[in-house]
Amino acid sequence: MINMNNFKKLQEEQEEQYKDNLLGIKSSIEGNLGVIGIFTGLIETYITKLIQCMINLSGGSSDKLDK
Amino acid sequence: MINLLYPLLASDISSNISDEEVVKLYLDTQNVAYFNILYKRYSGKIFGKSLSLLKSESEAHDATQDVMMKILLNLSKFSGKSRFSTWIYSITYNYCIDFIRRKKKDPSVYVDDFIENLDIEEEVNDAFITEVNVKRLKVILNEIPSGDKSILLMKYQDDMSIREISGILDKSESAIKMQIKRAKKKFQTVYYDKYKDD
Repeated sequence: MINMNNFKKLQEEQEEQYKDNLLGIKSSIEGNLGVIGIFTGLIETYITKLIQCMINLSGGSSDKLDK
Repeated sequence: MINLLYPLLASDISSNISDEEVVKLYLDTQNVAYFNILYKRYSGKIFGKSLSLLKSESEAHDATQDVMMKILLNLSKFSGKSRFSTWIYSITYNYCIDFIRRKKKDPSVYVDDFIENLDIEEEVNDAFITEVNVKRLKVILNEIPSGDKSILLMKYQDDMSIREISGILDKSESAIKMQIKRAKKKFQTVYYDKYKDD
């Protein structure tokens, strides 16, 4: 049976010691998420128009699909 | 789309909620507050492991950021077959090991045929490994090879079973048992080299 585990203590110490680094990393991740969000928004907005445009260029019509 | 506009406060959500439940809530709502809970629970641990393995604060910083992004973007792939912590740590260890391999251009971070005259007949006691004081533990972990270090962290820091470790490293359970034995012996050898006079 393991009575004392200093591997766990080391982990706790590291978490405490590098708290400030984690705040910086979080900001970077939030920045990345923001960029992903913007791209997702752009894709959501324009992808249907792009598909419609491609259908029209290939001689088809999206109206026919609806019917 | 990821909801960044109206995040709930992480403090509004019970800290008793399990990781798996948080993942489900995040996937259902895409509310970033749920990811913040996972970040709070695991970012420090990921940073610590990365620092132990990569030995550089700036590399550990980048690794933590990359691993957290990877986790966020792949949360829907978490099947729930393993513990969530095991899944997260497997991403972390694999990221760090790949990083070391690329950096050293050395594919042999884990070497099956560990060509050293280690007497592995006698297994090193777990208590010997876990009761070394933290200051010395840091020094010893810094001295031993990355493969040995990661396997000791998986066993003693993350409480992973042999089966879980074998899943992460994609090796048989008997190979993992042997590798743990060797890593413990290596740990002991470095300990006696460094602190033989104490």
